[in-house]
Parts: sequence; structure tokens; C-alpha cells
Amino acid sequence: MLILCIESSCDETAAAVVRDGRQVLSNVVASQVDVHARYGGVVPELASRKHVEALPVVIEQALAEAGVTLAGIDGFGVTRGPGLLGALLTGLSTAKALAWATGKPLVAVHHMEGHILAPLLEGELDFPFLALAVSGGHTHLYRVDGIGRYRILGQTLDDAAGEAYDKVAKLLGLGYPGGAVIDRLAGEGNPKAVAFPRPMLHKGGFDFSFSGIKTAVLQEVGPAPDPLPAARLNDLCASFQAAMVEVLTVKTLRAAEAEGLTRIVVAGGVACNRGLRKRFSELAATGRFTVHFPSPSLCGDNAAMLGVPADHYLRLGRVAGLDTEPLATWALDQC
Amino acid sequence: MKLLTVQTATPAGSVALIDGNRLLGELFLDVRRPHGEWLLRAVDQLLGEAGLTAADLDGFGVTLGPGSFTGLRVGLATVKGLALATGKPVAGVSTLQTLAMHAPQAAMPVCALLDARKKEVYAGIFTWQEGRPRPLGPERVLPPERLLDELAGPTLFVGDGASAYRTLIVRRLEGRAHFLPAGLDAPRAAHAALLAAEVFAAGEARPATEVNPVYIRPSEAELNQR
Repeated sequence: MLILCIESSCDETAAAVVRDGRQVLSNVVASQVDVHARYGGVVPELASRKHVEALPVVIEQALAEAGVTLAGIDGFGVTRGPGLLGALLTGLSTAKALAWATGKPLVAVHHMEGHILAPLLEGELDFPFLALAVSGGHTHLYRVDGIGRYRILGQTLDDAAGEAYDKVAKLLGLGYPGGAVIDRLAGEGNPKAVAFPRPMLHKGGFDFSFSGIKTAVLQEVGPAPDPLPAARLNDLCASFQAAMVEVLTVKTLRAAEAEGLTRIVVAGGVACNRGLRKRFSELAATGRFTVHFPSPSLCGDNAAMLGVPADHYLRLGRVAGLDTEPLATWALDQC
Repeated sequence: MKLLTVQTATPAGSVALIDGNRLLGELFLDVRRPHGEWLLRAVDQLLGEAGLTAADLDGFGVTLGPGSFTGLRVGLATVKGLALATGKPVAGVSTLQTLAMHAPQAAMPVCALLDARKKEVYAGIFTWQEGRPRPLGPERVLPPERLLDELAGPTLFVGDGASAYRTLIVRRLEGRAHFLPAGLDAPRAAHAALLAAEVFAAGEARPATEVNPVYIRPSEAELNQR
């Protein structure tokens, strides 16, 4: 079964063709990062404007790269939420129209469901597992007992992890989006140079809070820093990254132990972070659990990841109606 | 030639199906619910009543703007999906020109106004020639006061912007201002369809990848950067 998937929840316009919910035939992502960079963050109205332009282009490209036409597609998957309402609306409108006009079914998918199931596109993975979903808009810990069987164990109470990275990058004069720059510079610095706080590390429960780390960086560098010497900048990045990685890994491991889970999936845009990947891999070397990271092309927002749940729900007949509307907020355990 | 046309630039939306110059059907809804909720259901009903499927259509019309940013995108994103699925082209038309279709053969210039909020209007001025309203200049977004300063002779006002600023218009233009009867504020897909048919006849319909909204007004973020 071939499913054409469409994703437009934030600032990437994406389309993909996936076979049987496991095999990626094409995975096209049109990034808008250049559009938003000059504003220091994603501008929802501009994101929506770009989506409506890019959608038919990425859809045609996804079909061409997969070597199929719409006639060969068995159904459609689309992100219904959560995300920017106007952005979601573009992809959903196009997907509904494609489904109606071709007479093929449409499945409306939860964005995070795509992220945490992405490892299934690259190999076998047994349920249950613990999923850490980390991106610019989300930081969640889920218990995953099967497709559609999720329990929220913890989540951020303020900034998402990726948001904290981007905000700190701005404070350090590294531009937007600067999360990847911090990751790179962190490799050159001393992670113990500055002892940034590890918020909620010693509290019970599995919730996160990252705005305190960001504030601590601001206090360390001052409100309008002169260009920082390279060594100092590297140390700040390394120390900030160390705090983020420690909070994320320690909480995740603690949740896995509490739930008796030995498989851990780390998904979402921040799962590309090398410091985070390295630390999780070191911890996994103890042999108490395995860690599964999707390939970088399946970590950032993409449409291929929707293929896993879309295929599953299509087989169950969970098809979206023509009147389906996007959901800006949508808890994964309600999907 | 059978054309399906979508109009969701304004709070009242509509879809129309024409065959040549003959209107087969139109569904008009001013129900204050999101366009995305009813639009494809209305398309489904309209084609169903006409005994047609998507494959029977020769193309699509859509109001490209100006209008509500979100409304324009729901309409165009939907039409793009329909066009991709059928491989048929799209003709985008002006929401303001569509409004001017309310005043056939008007003996004076027709000023189509949409309330753009923030004390501005989207404005287009048209004159009837060869059975269609033809633009007398570019469409703009501006404060109504500035627009009215430019209008010297008798003018016929249409659209929800004309209703919103009627008092101001009458005060400035006095006897030179003329209005349509109440109830003709909203653009109609059936009118947009006739304009779209002209675009098709001129061979100017485009593939889905080449048609985009005409917002006229930049986004808030772009305005703040200036």
C-alpha cells in the first residue's frame, strides 16, 4: 500500500511516499529557514504563505522521486496537529482535496506520533518503548505500547528544548536558528567552565523546565554582550549543552527505569544534536537499555514519518472526513 | 467547458459550477464557521447534484485575493489539491473584480471595497466594457479617506468595505456616491466563475504550482521591519 504524506505544521513544507508504513520511497522537505531567519524566529503568517506556494511543488517532487503517479497512491496521510493553525490548514486543505478528487482515503495524523514512530522506517523495533520527543516546539516523554497506544509521562512546563537552544543562540549572538551552531561550538569548549543549573533534575516526576537555563546564560553574559572571545563562546556553549543533555538524559533514563522499559527512542529535531546522541550512546553502552535515533533526515520535520501511523490507521479504517479541521493543540494520548 | 470555482476570500464563502456561461449550481454559505469545514462538503454536494465527478471538470477558478489571508489560503490550497488530482489548470481572479460583477453595465465607475481592518480597505476601481468590469488601475490597500480624495465623479460602491465606511463615503462624496441595494455585499463564486472562464478562454489558466494568493498587504512582520 502506497501512502502520500503531507506535513506543514511549522516551517517545513514536506511530502513523502511511503510503502506499507515502513519503506520510504521519497522524502521531500522544502525548508523555510531563510525566510524566518531575519525575523529571529518562525513568523506564522509567512510560514503559511510559503506553505501554500510550496505544497504542490513538493507533492509533485515526492511523487516523481518515488516513481509513481497519484493513480498509484492508495491513500493520503496529513498532519492535523499540533502546530501553527494557519500552517496546518494549508496542508490539510490540499490533502483533503486530493483525497476527495481521487476518491482515496485520508488519514489525519498527530505530528508527534510521526516523530516517535520514525525509527520503524529504518528497521525493526519492538513495543513497548520509551520515547523522548525533542524539538523546537515539543519536549515530551511518552510510554509507547503500540501504534495509537501512548501515555504522556512528562513534558516541558515552559520552553521546548529546541526553543531553549535557539533562544540561547540568540543571546550569544549566534543568529537564528542557532541550536546546531551551539552543538558544533560545544565540541570545542569546556563543559565544566560554567555550572549552569539543571532545572527539576532532583524533583520527582518526569516534567522538564528549560527557561531557567536560558535565564542563567543571560545572567552570565549580560543583556547586550560585546562579541565574545571564541574560547569563552565555546565554553558557554559546551556548558549550556552539558546542562541540557544531562537533564534530558537523566530524566529519560529515570522514566525508563520507572516504567520498566529497556528500549528508548529519541526523536524530533533536537535528536540531531551530536552532544545528545553521544551521551545517550555512552549510557547505552552500560547494556541496560538500547537507544534508537532516527537518521537526521527523519529527525527534523518531514512527511515520511507520518507514513507509519497513516498506514496503520488506514488499515483500521480510521479515515478523516471532508470536514476535518486542524488542531493547534492536541495531546498525543487524545489522538 | 465545466469549471468549479471556489470563493473563500471573505467571511461569506461560496462554490459554483458552470458549463460555458451556464451556471449549473452555486452554494453560498455565510455561517461563520471555518471555510475548511464546509468547503469540500459543498463541492461534493454541488458535483453530486450535477451528476458529475472531479474527473468531469475541465479546470478550476478561485478568488486569489485580496481578502482574509487564511480564507485565501483555504480556497487556494483546496483548489491546488483538486488541480493536482485531476491534472487540470487553475484560473485565479480578483475578489474585487468579482464584487464589481454585482453591478452589470453600471454607467459610472464601480469602486469595489473590502474591509481590510486596521482602518484600511482593499480597493479596486472598475469600468464596464464588453460585458465585464475592467480595472481602471491597480488594486490597493489604503485608508478609505485617502481613496475618497481621489474620486472626483459619480461612483458606485460595492462590497463590505462600502457598508463599513458608508457614512464616511456619503460625507465626502455627497450626491456623487451611489450604493447597491443591501444584501449584495459578498462576492459570489458564480461571478468569479464567469471571470475565470474568461481566463481559460484567453489561454491564461495555469498549473497548480504556478498560482498563488494576491494578498496586497504584506504580513505584519514584514511591515514592522520596514
